[in-house]
Amino acid sequence: MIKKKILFIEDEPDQVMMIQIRLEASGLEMICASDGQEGLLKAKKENPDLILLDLLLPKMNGYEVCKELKQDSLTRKIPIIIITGSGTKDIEEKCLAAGADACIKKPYDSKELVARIKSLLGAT
Amino acid sequence: MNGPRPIKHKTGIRRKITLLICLTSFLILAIAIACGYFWGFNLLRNTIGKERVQDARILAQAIERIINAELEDLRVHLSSPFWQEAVLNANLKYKDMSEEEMKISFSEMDRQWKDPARYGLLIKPYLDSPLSLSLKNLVQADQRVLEIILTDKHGGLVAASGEASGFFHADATWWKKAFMQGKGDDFVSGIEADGASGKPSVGIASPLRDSAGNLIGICREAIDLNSFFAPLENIGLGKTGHAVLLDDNNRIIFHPGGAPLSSNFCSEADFQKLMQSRLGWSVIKEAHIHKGGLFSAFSELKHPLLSKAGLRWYVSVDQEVEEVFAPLNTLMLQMFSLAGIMIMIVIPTGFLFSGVFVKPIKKLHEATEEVIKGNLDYEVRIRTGDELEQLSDSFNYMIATIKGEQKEIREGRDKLQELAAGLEEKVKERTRELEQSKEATLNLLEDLQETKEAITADKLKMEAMMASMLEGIIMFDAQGQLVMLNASAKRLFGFPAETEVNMDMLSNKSAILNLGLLLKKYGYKKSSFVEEITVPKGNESLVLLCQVAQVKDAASKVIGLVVVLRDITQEKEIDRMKTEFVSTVSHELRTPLSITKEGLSIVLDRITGEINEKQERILATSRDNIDRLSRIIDDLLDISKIEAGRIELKRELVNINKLVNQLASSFELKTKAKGIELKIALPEQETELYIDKDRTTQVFTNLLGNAIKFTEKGYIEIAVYDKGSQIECAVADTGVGISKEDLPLVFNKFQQFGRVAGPGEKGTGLGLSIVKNIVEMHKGRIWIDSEVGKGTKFSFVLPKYSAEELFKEYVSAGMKEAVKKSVKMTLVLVSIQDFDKLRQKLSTEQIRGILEDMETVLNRTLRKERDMVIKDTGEIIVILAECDKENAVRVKARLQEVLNEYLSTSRIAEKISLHFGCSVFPDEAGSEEDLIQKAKSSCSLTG
Repeated sequence: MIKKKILFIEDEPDQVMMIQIRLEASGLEMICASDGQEGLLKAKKENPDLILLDLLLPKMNGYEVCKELKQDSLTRKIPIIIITGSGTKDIEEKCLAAGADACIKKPYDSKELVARIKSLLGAT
Repeated sequence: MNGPRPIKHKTGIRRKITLLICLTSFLILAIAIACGYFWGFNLLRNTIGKERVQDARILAQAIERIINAELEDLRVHLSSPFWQEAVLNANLKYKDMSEEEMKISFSEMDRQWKDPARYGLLIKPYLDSPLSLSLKNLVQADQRVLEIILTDKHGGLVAASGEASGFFHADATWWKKAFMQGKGDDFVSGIEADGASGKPSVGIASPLRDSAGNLIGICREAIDLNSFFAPLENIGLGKTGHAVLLDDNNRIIFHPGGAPLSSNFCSEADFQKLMQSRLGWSVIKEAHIHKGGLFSAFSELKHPLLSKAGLRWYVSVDQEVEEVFAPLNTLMLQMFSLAGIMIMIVIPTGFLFSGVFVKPIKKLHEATEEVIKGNLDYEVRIRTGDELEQLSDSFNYMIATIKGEQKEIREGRDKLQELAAGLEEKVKERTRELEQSKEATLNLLEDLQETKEAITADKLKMEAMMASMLEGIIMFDAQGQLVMLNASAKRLFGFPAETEVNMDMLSNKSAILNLGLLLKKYGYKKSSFVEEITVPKGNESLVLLCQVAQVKDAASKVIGLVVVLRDITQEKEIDRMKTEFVSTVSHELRTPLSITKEGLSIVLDRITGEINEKQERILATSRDNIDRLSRIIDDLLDISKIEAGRIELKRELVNINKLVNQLASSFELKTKAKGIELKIALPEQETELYIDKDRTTQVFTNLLGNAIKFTEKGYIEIAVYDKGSQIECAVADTGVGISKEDLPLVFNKFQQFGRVAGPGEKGTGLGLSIVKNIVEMHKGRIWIDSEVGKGTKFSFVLPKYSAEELFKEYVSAGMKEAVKKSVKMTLVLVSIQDFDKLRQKLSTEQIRGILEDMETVLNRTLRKERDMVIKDTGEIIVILAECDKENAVRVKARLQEVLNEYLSTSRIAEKISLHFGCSVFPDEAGSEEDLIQKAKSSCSLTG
């Protein structure tokens, strides 16, 4: 079975490492981008099955990246999960308004994250 | 003065009235004559017609009676043995003769009978026989009978009353019909001339029978037709009246007085008309027996013998038309004479009568002319007792009034002249008085000057003070007009120092306009208030704290407003930076926390390999504390926001019953796990109120979390009571309780009691503080009852907001926000048409369902910042921040689309129509009321 590919756009290498270990342990392949622009490029080039997106990013913030991805016909159908640092309700609403499919708050529960990813992958 | 207008009398009233009376009388007469003639004619015709038909019937019956009487007579004679014997003897003569011999004998006898020479020899003995003589006597005795003949059964003559025309009669029709091949029957023959007298007659033949009833002979009698018409003498038919006997072919059978027989009675058309006339009479235009028209009535002779013989005879009674209608002509003549007489009477009467009307009018005319000449003492006397008398009275009254008024005018004129004379004197007097007061005024002015100087000195002091103040000061009078504005205020508003600022300039500045708005809104109602306003200054903007207070006079009457402005831009900036800092810090803290937690989780989940139990316990505790730290960060962030006033409640209509049920089911697992019972007590009636759903949930969650944490056995109860204008909620437990000394501290930050070591969620020490803050933001109140060892009960009340209050609060907040950011704000109103009717048709549940669905649809459509209120009047109001007119129209159109789509797909049977309206602040309206009104008035129906 071909492993599903997850693109993680995050500038914090430690976080990337942790999630990579977690995703690979869950049988998923992960690629990463360290800022918004790179994230957009990789999303188009690599055609991932799902995108994990941090909100606070250099160059472009998470909302902008999300909106851009959802407007581009190439990437429009890729599900996006935003991981936020400050998980207040209005931020979650903003994320959903920007087109994200789910929003997860730091520090996230690993099981919940994996469950979300799997359910969104299953849905596409 | 104009003289009376000369009027040419074409026709005077008198002549008019006379003419009117005459015309009316003529008309009535004409109608009466016409009717009289018409009715009289018809009446006469019908009466005479009926009479004549009656006459004809009488005549016909008389004739029928004559025929019957004669027949009866004949039968009596026929039964006499004398007659029978004679006939039997005659029959004996032919007893031994054969048929042939009889025929020869009869023809011989007949030949000899008609030979005049044989008279004495053959006929005389027959005529002189006793039977013949008896017959002769009978004829003489009855004038109606002309002749009687008796024959034997072979047709041979037995006896005759006079000279019979022949001997053998068996060939004659009447004989054959009466003989009837030996059966015998009565028979009436048609008209014939009697042999002896030549008179027209009708024959009656009757059989003669012996005592055994065998036919032995035939007897014939001729009846004089003239006798038929004898009864006519008893009927008066006038000069020209006469009767005729007709058959059914328009032929005259008999006409007494001698018209030729068998001639036609009248033209065929007239005859048909007569026969078909229902009434039995008709007017015949062309009668052959008479020149000119005839009035003819008829009746059929109805005798059985006649109909048996196939004869249809009619008796016609006729009279000349002229004679019949003579009475009518007389009547007409009389009527015309009467009319003539009436006209002769009416004309002079009318003339005299009209004089009565005209006379008083003439009198009035004369009076008017007198008045015109100036004679106001003239009085009209008319005593007719009608409208004319009223008119004369009114006329007299009018003259009297004019007279009175003239008198008044004359008096007034006299008075005016008197006054004019007095006026001059008064002017002189007043001039003197004025001179005196002028002097007094000059003295007063001197005093005033002194006072003014004193005041000016005070004012200068004041102004100097105000000018040197750092705060901006603005004063308004009771009408909201600008009174004063100090140098700092000018500086803050960006006016150059030397400018003389007036109200218009203030109004022209948008920020100032908002100040004006604030003043208009609150200034004269509340005694004082504080408001932050934003003023543009170059590229940046200043935040001003604006303290408004009323200025009152000694009698506590508001005489103006004073506004003190303080620049708090820096303070606000520091505040903003602080909040941002907290938010950034929390985010920055969370990332390493997240990494650490994930690291721990990876190890704990054995992804990196097996770990022993002790390692697991240590790592798990570490992970729990990372979660706890994360919660502390959340709560800290929350409380810093709340305390900085940065959180605004998002009130919406919440069903508290549903909310509590949801909470109970989400906490059920935890209570079950601990073996505690979770009870709920809710008001019977589902209760809805405008609260912030998420924040209220937070309150319950924190209280329930505490309760579960501190309760080991017993139960936890969530209770809600509807208290009219507010609801009271309580979360009670049977846990450890809190000591009296600690009770006042429970709502403090980082205050924790009864910490427990070991696994399980640890508190942050901020929960109750947040709870208190949230309840107070709802303008509610929270308190605690507790006893150590027995349990704790947290109670709080939340006031029910009315939709209207909430709505105003939102609009007001939206407006402030818009002013602060110098952007526009839009209000969109969606209203359900005929909501009251709908509410009667649908259940409350359905209505709520519709409104909730609409809210959901709107929420899905509008993801951006917005406030929304659903009113129980069937209106939904959406406040869109940072939205200009163009956007608003687009949003409105989008809302229309989605809502109408929802309504068209929903399963509600009732048709729901929506109104949509919108208004934009500050372009279209400046105050809340205006904004709402504008949105309402722009409502238009769609779909």
